Amino acid sequence: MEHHGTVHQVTIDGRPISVEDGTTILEAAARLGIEVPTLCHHPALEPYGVCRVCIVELRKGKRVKTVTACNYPIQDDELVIYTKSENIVRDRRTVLELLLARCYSSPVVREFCAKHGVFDTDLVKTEGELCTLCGRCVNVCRDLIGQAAIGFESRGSHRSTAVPFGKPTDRCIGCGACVHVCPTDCIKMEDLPQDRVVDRWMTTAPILKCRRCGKGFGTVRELELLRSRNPVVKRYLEECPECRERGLGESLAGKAPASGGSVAV
Amino acid sequence: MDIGVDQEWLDSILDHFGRDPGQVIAILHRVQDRHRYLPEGDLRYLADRLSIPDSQLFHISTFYGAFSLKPKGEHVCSVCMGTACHVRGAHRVLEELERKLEIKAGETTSDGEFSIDTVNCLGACALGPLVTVDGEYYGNMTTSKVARLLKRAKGNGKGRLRLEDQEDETRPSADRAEKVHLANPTALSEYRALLQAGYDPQQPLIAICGGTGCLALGASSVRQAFDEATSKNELGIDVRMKFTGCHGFCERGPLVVTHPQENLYVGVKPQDVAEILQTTVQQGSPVERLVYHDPGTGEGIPQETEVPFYKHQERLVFGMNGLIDPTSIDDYIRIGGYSALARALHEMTPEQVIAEVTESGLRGRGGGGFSAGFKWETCRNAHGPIRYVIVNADEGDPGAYMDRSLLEGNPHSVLEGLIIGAYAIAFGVSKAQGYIYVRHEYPLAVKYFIRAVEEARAYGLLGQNILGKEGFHFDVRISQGGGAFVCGESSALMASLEGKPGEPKAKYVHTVHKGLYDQPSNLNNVETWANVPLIVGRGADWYGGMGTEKSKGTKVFSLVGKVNHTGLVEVPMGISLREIIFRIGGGIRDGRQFKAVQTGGPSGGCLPESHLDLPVDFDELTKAGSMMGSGGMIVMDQDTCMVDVARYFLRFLEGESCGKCIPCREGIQQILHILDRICEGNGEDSDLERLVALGNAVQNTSLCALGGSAANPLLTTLEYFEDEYLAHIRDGTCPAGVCRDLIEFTIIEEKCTGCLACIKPCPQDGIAGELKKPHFIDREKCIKCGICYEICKFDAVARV
Repeated sequence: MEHHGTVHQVTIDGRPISVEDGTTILEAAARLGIEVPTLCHHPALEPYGVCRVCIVELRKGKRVKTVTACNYPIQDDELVIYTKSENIVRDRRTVLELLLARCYSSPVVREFCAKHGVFDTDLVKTEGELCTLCGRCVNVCRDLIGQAAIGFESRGSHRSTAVPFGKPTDRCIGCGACVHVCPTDCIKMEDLPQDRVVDRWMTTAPILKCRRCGKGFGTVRELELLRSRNPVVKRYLEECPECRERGLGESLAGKAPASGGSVAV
Repeated sequence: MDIGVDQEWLDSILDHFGRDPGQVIAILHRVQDRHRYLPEGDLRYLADRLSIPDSQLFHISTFYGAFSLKPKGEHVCSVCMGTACHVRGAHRVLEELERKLEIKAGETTSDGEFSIDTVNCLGACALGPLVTVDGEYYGNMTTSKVARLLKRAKGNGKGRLRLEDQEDETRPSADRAEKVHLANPTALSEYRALLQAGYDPQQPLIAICGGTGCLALGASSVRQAFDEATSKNELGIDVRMKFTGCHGFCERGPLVVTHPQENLYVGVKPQDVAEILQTTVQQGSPVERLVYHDPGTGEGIPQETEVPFYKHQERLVFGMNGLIDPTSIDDYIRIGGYSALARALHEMTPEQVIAEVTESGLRGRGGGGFSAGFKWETCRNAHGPIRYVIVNADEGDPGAYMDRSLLEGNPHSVLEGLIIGAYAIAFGVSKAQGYIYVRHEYPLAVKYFIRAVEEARAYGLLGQNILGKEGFHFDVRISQGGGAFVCGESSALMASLEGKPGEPKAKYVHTVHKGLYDQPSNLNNVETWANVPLIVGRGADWYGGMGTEKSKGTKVFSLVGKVNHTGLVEVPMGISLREIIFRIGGGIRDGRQFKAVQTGGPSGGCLPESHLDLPVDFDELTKAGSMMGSGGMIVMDQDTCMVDVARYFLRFLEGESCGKCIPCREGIQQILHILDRICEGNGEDSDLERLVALGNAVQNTSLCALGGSAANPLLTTLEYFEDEYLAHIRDGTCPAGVCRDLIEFTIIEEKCTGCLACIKPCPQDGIAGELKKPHFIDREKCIKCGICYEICKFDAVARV
């Protein structure tokens, strides 16, 4: 979020706070120690605002509306925000029930919903679905890794995450960022002796082995991508972090040239 | 694997669209048109050349309903599932097609000959139920016509008109364009004077409605008959012939109006042409048998303006449709077109134009009802090096086709409004670029608007220093949708214009500040733009004199469903729903009882009889739980089940939701589960409470207006027709006789004449009987398809 220097006075759950222009409600609430539940939000990613779990009530003069805390930028004074008003608690409960009905098979989702007071639902439950479609994996792959290897398919109730044409793609470098950001652990990654496998994306990416010790660290595709993007010397990237450190030590001791030379990272 | 990739052809298409990633939907339409699907190889090649990730192009290809990754049949039958068609029994037609072809909707026959698609409204609602085969319209479909339809499609061979061929027809002739260049307002008025001098209003003119409805009913062959008859000049009179825009009375097409008599002829056939020429054109008398006859009194009404359907309307925006040829800029200029633009550019500052529009009280006709002038002002005051002014012609509401008819009937009025808007919003503060986003389901509208833009460009009404206004440069790009209702939402529309999947974004920062390509963008719908030349030309005071305190001017509605006179009606704001339905629309068909009127499309609500005296006014309709929306008005009678209607709209929205946020995607599905249960007779009392809670949550917490209004049909039917829900739940009956699990078909012995008509069409061989003896339905075999009910001319089939 951009901050423009102007400061606004707002109230959250009855407690006043001044925040810089553009601060999100979620950030402001956190500063007051008020926890607003979130699911699709991830601090490293632009707010996506799709899980609707972080809804809060916003009052601006006579107008009352429901907004999502994660992406609502505070740009006015005298906003009055309630994170647990009766309406919000009721609607958030329904949203959590919808989430639970979709991902009833997911222990993580069940735990999450239970934490926020929803233990079960009489809505129609879907069997075996672990993905909440929060979009973190797609967004991290496109916006932070810059690969856009994965995306969404179709729309409405048919929406899912997918690799293009349901076929393996070289653009997936097996970096595991998606695995890391997934809030429900529904993307599994495994390192076999020769390959890193990400089942969900049908990826089998050859493991990169340290030039010195032969230990696997990362994938060959990661190396190629980094090389294509950064003017970092090749050898630096071909060694695992431990060997890099060792190499640096050796070079300082006058035994060998430093692995990376003048490393510009 | 795929067929080989024709790179040369793909490159030519890419060049045609300037290799612009924003034109990717248009490019995909070409590929789909050529192969009848999107081959993977083509998509991968395009992604590479347009520098779009494969994953994004794959999402686009699977997001938009117009595209398929699997080959379609040689003949594509598209069944319109719009509201107007739905309440007239479209599902029966669809099921009959499915039975005859032995495939389901979305599938292709194994021999590759036929595919069945369902389409969410083709915008020819007066003709429902409607099916198109290879782009040809077949209106008023019944199950018994399906076999003939398929036979005819086979006989037609491979006669698909390709998109490229269609576009070539729209090029205006170069010689005329060279001659006319309107360098300043004087040149415009001189040119207009020249056109008027060459036009004798007393010279006989035959105006044939060329709107989609009339074309579907055979207007082309009527025109051909007129052409042939007049070319021989047997009458010795010089008769002009003109295809005009939609007249609105689609129900009775093909429509022909003769001038100067202004006689309206309805349901004209080629064989009527000679008589019209002889009796009316030559002798000046009306042809009695072809004029409109009042269904009540039987009285014939020859004058177009006296026909009740037209008499009680106030046709401002639509008024010119019947007078001009939509493919002729000269026609538009002759009747005063572009004089409002000249006035704005040379007699008013941009601020004055905005003030005029604000004072007029014009509110957005697309559904929101936001003040147009205020929106323009906010956009003008936003920051950015360019401002985008955009026409929203993504008229996705099933049962609404006003925008389509305006673009098909008077495209220059929309264009003139847009140019005035560009001047008011951007002149002096930034560059300006125009866009129009049109549904691809409206090929004629696309064609006519492309032509209008090219003509305007040739005349100097688009381009540099327009009409001699130093420094005012403006042009318009045309983008086509891909079959996604959600793209009518502003942020989704803009995403689609950028060549992305049409997914809405949170609008905590408005699109007037950060819209298309993150620049200030002003989006108004077709009808709103078409009002602008009227306001600037005649003044805010005149305009504000019509309507209610907070809703000014007129509104065009598509009056469809179970009403006698379906078609497009333009009425002053403030008129009551009752007047529209009963005075203009002539009441309910077949002497049935009115039950509800649905305004505002899928996001609107269903209002009962007790609300019929509500005035047409943005705020009043909203208060009643419905909305003005873009202007669909669907009339329902006693044979319409309100639970089924709620389920219909929710199912529509389930298919059209982008699926991004949880409440819209999951909430609508859960609501449907419950509605299905109720319609199957398995509902419980507690379901109603559950529905309200779900409806409210979807309404309050969804990301965009689609979800935000999705529950309206549910919540209004629950409010006004709760007894119908309870009849399903407690008594296990469907009072309207619609929900199949709750009804049985039976033959009333006393009424059955034993005509045998129902026996053969029954797909189950489930009706037995002999000639002149009462027939019987075998309940074991009956699948409740309703064909016998539809076919019986003696009302002897009952749904109990």
